[in-house]
Amino acid sequence: MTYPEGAQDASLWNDHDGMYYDAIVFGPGHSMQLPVRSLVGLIPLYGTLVLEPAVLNRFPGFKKRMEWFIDNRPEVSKRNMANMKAGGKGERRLLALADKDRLVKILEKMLDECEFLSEHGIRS
Amino acid sequence: MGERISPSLRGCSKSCCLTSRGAPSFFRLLTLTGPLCLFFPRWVNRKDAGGHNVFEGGFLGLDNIGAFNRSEPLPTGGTLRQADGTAWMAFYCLNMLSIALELAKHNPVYEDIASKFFEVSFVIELGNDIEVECL
Repeated sequence: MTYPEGAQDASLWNDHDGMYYDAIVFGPGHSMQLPVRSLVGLIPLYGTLVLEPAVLNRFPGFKKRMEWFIDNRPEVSKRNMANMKAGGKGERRLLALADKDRLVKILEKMLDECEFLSEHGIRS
Repeated sequence: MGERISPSLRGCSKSCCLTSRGAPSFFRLLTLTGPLCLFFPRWVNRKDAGGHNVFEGGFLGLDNIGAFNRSEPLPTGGTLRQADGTAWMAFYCLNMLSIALELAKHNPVYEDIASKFFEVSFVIELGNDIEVECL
């Protein structure tokens, strides 16, 4: 969810608002987020997958390559995987686009009746 | 797949078939998965103008709540980087990982493919600086 903006990276995540936004890139090094709070910012929550320990044990090649990736790309795995090294409940591994901190910030808004949550479901 | 279809819907629906209908036959799942493997790089290559694994374009079902018609060029100029488009691609990738692991129970070739989708899912999240290394 990051892209280059000049010498630095820009992200679709807005730390101040605690939400994902679209962004317009006008050219190299020049972009701006569109701070429109909508269902667009909730879609990243779909990007999750739980790997069961039975699956990892069944495919040692996959497990070995996954662990290589975690060990050699710690900046990636820390940010993207919950309990990836330690394992979760029952040694499950969670792959998620939004980490725990981001999940909490998004859920605060999603479950707020003054924002997304209505009597008829989630407002778009 | 048309331009106005969310990239991951087919992968999602087939992944759901896996869980709701019990285990499909290997060949049935293989038939379903082949086109998905072809569509995946198509979306990666056509909907990432900057080549940074941050995606844009397509209908995605949310144009009616956005500030712009995201299927058309922006009135402001520039290119849109879509949070939902990028998330759909990550979702697509994770579904493909799940399907590949299911297929790998019958054919070990898919274990390598699962590893590739695992790595790509992180490239999508991290964006431009990460290159997947071949092991």
